[in-house]
Amino acid sequence: MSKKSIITIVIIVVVVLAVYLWFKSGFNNMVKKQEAVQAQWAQVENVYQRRADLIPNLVATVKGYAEHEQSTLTAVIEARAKATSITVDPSELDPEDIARFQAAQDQLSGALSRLLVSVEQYPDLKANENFLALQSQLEGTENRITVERQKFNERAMEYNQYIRMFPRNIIAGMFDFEKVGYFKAQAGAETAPKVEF
Amino acid sequence: MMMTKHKTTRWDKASLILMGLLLFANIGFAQKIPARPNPPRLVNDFANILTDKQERALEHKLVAYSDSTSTQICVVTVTSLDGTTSDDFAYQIGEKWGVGTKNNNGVVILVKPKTADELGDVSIQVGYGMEPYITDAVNYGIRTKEMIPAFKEGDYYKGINNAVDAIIGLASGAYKSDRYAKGDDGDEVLGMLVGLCFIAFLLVLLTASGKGKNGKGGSGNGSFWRGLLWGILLSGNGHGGRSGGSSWGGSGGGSWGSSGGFGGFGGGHFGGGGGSSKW
Repeated sequence: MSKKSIITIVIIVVVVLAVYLWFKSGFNNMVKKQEAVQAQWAQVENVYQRRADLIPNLVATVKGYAEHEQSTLTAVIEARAKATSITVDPSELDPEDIARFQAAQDQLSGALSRLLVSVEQYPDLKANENFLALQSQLEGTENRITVERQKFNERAMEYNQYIRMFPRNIIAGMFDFEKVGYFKAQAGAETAPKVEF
Repeated sequence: MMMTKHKTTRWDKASLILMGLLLFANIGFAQKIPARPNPPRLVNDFANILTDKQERALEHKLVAYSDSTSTQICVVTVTSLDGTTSDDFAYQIGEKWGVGTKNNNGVVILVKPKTADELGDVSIQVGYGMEPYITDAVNYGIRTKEMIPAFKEGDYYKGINNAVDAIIGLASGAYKSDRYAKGDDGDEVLGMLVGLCFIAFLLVLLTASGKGKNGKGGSGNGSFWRGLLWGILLSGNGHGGRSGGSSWGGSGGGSWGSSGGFGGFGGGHFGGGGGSSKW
């Protein structure tokens, strides 16, 4: 074999190897980032579930003290039923599904904060140890929701950016890595309503 | 002489640029929460509400606790929350400083003292691994029963110390310090040795092929192989540097600090568990 053909073979081998390595790292990183997004989604669902689990207790406690808040309580129960009925397929994390999930959860947030504002009028309830414990748990859970949602958005952005960047988007297109949705900034529903006298 | 001087100025320039970059990064970081203390400390009294003696006593207690259990309780006081909530502020400190170890057993106690026109604010955020031991309801109890009564009297040390004692009591037995059983570090050292052997091997090959080239009086093939080897060597080097950088944040100095002082934060994560109270 002449020197020239050896060099040609070496170049071909190097190029093939380079393409293979690029493909491999691109694909594997996408899998890794997708897994991270899905794991974070599980965390998000976890903390929302935690809140949903607290509500029956909260409603039962409030009921004993605040009989006149029946409509507010019903609103919370209904919003909870609706929020827990909406699920998102974690393998897709479709933007529209996430938007629907968020809308239902935000509605529950709104109903809950209205309930917590209305119980301000019941000093007996506010002094109840059980209620105070529930309220602190609810507060902690809302913190967790904020944090996990924020983490989800960070992971989702990292993944979305990764799969959409050229030339990696070629690999993403070949293997159906699709963009995932985000949580939108709170649009009024989650901010506590003002107390008016 | 001239050469060395020239070299030094170039190094100076490079380090200046590097320092500038680091400073810039620090400013970007500091906009919201304070930068991670260096050397690492568990008591960070930015608001200056503790005396030096109180600070030392608290630090001593927390370092001893961290040494024996690996659980890190970090006390931070600030004068301003920079427009965010105390929960968010404390969470960010916990997450960005990496309070706790890989068990996520960190706790951040954040106190913003009461001023003439602003309410005082205290938040206790617990890492994922501490959530089973310091539940939100217990956390609320610590804040309202142990801390705020003392804060109302203006005794910040007493309030913080009470909370620390309560947390230590609640989390006793939850985690054990594993600073003497460093399985991961052993792996890392082994990996580094293998890498070094590989680099040494390449270097030997490199000099050999260089010598061969000199002896033959220059052949195109030799320089090609040399280039390839250099390429491998350099890319290997780059990789080593990167993995070194990432492990810095993770292991911090937890296994290094053996004498007296606090070894460093261990990269614990927080999930927003906990809450805040105002007074």
